[in-house]
Amino acid sequence: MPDPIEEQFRDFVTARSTALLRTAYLMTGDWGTAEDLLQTTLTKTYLAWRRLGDIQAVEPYARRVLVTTATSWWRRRWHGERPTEHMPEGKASDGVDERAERDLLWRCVLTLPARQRAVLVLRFYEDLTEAETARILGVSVGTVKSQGSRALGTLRKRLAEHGVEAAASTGGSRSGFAMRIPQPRAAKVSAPTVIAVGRGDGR
Amino acid sequence: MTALEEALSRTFAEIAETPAPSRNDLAGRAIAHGRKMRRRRRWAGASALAGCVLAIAMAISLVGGGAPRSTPANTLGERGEQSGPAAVDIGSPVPIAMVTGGQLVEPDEDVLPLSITGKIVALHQMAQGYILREVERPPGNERVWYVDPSTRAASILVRDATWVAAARDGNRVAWVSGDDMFAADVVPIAGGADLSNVRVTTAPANGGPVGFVGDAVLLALRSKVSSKAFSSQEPFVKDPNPEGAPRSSAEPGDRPPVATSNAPPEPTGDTTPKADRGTPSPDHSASGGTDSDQVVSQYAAFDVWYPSRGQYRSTWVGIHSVFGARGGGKELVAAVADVDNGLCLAGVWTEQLVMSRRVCGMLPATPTAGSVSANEKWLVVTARDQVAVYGLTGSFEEMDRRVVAMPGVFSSVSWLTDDCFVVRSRQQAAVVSLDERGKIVYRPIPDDAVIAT
Repeated sequence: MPDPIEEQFRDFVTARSTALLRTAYLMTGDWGTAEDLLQTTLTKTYLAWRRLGDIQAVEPYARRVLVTTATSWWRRRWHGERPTEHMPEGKASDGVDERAERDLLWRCVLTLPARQRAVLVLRFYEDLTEAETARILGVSVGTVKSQGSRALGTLRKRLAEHGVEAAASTGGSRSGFAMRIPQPRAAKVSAPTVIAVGRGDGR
Repeated sequence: MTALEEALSRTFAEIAETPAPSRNDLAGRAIAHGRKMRRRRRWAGASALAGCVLAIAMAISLVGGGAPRSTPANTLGERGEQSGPAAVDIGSPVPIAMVTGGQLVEPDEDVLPLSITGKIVALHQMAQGYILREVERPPGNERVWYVDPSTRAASILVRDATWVAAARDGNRVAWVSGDDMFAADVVPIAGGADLSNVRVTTAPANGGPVGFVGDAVLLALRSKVSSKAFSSQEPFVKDPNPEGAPRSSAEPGDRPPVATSNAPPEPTGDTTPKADRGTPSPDHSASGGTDSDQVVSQYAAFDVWYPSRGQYRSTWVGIHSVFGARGGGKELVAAVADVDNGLCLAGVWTEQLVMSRRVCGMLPATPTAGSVSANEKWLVVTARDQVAVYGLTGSFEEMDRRVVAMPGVFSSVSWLTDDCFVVRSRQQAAVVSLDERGKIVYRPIPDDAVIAT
């Protein structure tokens, strides 16, 4: 006879695992680590299922476990990430297009400390308010503000270190700011290329 | 939303849409892993149970001369009575928090992984979180951690301490770091805890905090120094402070004169050169007093420091062991060595460190651990192959006592509730519940667990 709790748990995993995995990936930057993180989260959620009682409480619990596990200092060994002065070389300059912009920004995000990254993911991917973010992380709203501000400041600084300058855009760009990405030295481009992207998608 | 924030939002959305690798039965693997964790816990419990049942069988054999008792005792019984266990409950879960296998297991069985690399020597359960004491490896200084189960985050409250004591409820800590001794309140804040009301004084040489008794920090001394010793001729002192109000001091930290004629002059400071200050053994797990789990040790002497009264001034007293306190910390429940009668159970006024009462012939000859319950109703003292439970509600002379024979040398007593404690030896541990009639129940716990107090 099937265990009703297991049936409920399987339904929950089927419905929500993809979304949780995406959040886990944004937290970790690696699909394998993200899957490990999700697996741990689901195991803890399964063990706590009877205690949670209300199905409405399950997803917030799972999300909280995922985020706090990813940001807890003892879990950093999973990622092995450390804030670095310089980003590792990557394949950012594979073209003067939006993908380059996205990849560069993403790689900058990956250099942030886990908690700062979590704040950004919760605020700008999950679209949570500062109060909701604070609740999930178990910190004050002030901490969320300061961590977010610090993260954004670090991103600007690191973009600048790589010759990318965020500039206010008055239109015509998709994401609302312009970044100047220098071409690789091999390309022998003396002047940086300006990528102008607009607000066209409405975000 | 700024331009950078918009870019982040869009980048996250696009990155997250990247096709994820195939996932094989996440739910099934989570369930299997969850079952495995549960089995592991049950297995650990069963192992402890086996030891517990063996212990009980041997206890019955020892007490009954080889013939197991068919009718277990169900009360603490008469003074001096020795008995086997009252009942055995092999199936009930034990709702306690513990650290075992590198994890903090909460009473509801939620598991918090820990990566604290040192040896965890004590766990205190607070209203909202846990206080952990860690001895760093290689054996050396201690750190005090606060673990918040809601965020699963751990933060360090104290580091580089050579002596540490935490109150039983975890709300206060005291420690020695360098030449200074500190006491502070632990205050939970969002996502962690912080120290407040921090008091500092000069640390005693070769001594430090081992527990809390009322408002005072109980101190122990590792090496022998000149200290007052009790004798069989020493007069008892009835309540020197009957109103129960804090005695005012001429200056902060002063203690009223010791009311005995054979007491040495009160030292005005440390009696050991600063250079002699040593680092205590990392397993000096003595925390003590009413607000801590236990104090039984071979410390040379004990003393108290009232942080609210200012600087500490040493007045070490040669007490053998301190089990806890009564009257909200007013009277220590201790063992004192008497030249004529061996080890005696004694009451000692905390503030004056003078003896209030004493009864000899009640304690085991060589107690290994002991603790007074938080409700001050019980005293548990362990010794080789036995656990003695004393009722503290009456006078010492009329004290109820029951001695339960159990094989093993017990190293600790931890109170889980007012009427429930854990005794443990190297090979086994058992939870003993004392209901209103003193009924004793054994339950299993993992062998390697550090039990929350």
